[in-house]
Amino acid sequence: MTSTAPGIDTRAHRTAIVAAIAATEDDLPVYDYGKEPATLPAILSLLGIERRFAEQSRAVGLPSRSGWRITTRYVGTTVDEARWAELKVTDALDGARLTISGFTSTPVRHESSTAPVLDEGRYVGFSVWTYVL
Amino acid sequence: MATIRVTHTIGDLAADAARIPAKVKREGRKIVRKNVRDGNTLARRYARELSGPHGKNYFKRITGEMTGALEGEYGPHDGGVPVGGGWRHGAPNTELERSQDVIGPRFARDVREMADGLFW
Repeated sequence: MTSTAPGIDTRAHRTAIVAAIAATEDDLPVYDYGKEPATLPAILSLLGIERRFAEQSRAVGLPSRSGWRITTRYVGTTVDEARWAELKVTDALDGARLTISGFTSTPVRHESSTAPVLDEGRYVGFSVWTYVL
Repeated sequence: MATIRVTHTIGDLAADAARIPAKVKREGRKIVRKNVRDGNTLARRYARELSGPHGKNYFKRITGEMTGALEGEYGPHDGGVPVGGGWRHGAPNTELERSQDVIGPRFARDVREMADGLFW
């Protein structure tokens, strides 16, 4: 049985998001967790995508929309480098309408951010974004 | 000098309206407390689920409390990066955001129903 919710292939989301960031700043690599290269670049970002719970208000309960939450991590050798990465990703994503699997999302909304902290030798911050397909 | 005083009351409605402020304080407090408690429970459960093997006690840092007559909060005690939450291990914990997905609509509905119930 196929889901009635649109765009459930997370890989399509990743493609769209990485493309949006590359279009804004092609010098900022975006990796999946565990896929960073052996020699780390000075500045990079990491992407996580998860589907979000949405309360069903109708008795039928079959979703016609899917909610998504993405986390973007900014990694730099200094706090300022992490902030630069944050700026580029925010420029690319904040308010952007992504086209995923033929559906256009609602404008990507910022949910929360965390300032860069020293973490395993790098300065790392992250932001959380939400949108609906 | 003669005075004319006109008094008009709408009986029960006036009496009910006078009781509203105290009722809002009482019922509102109950709603906030309940949702803080539920949000805290949810956040803890998600944190437990999301933390890796090194962060298995992280969820204990998340607590909730009332901070005012109609105000409450829940969340982790600040402690920097939680153990096991290092940047290479995986996506950051989103337990607070996930708890909001559930509590947001629930809280709004509770407040709406309470406001509605004030006049019946």
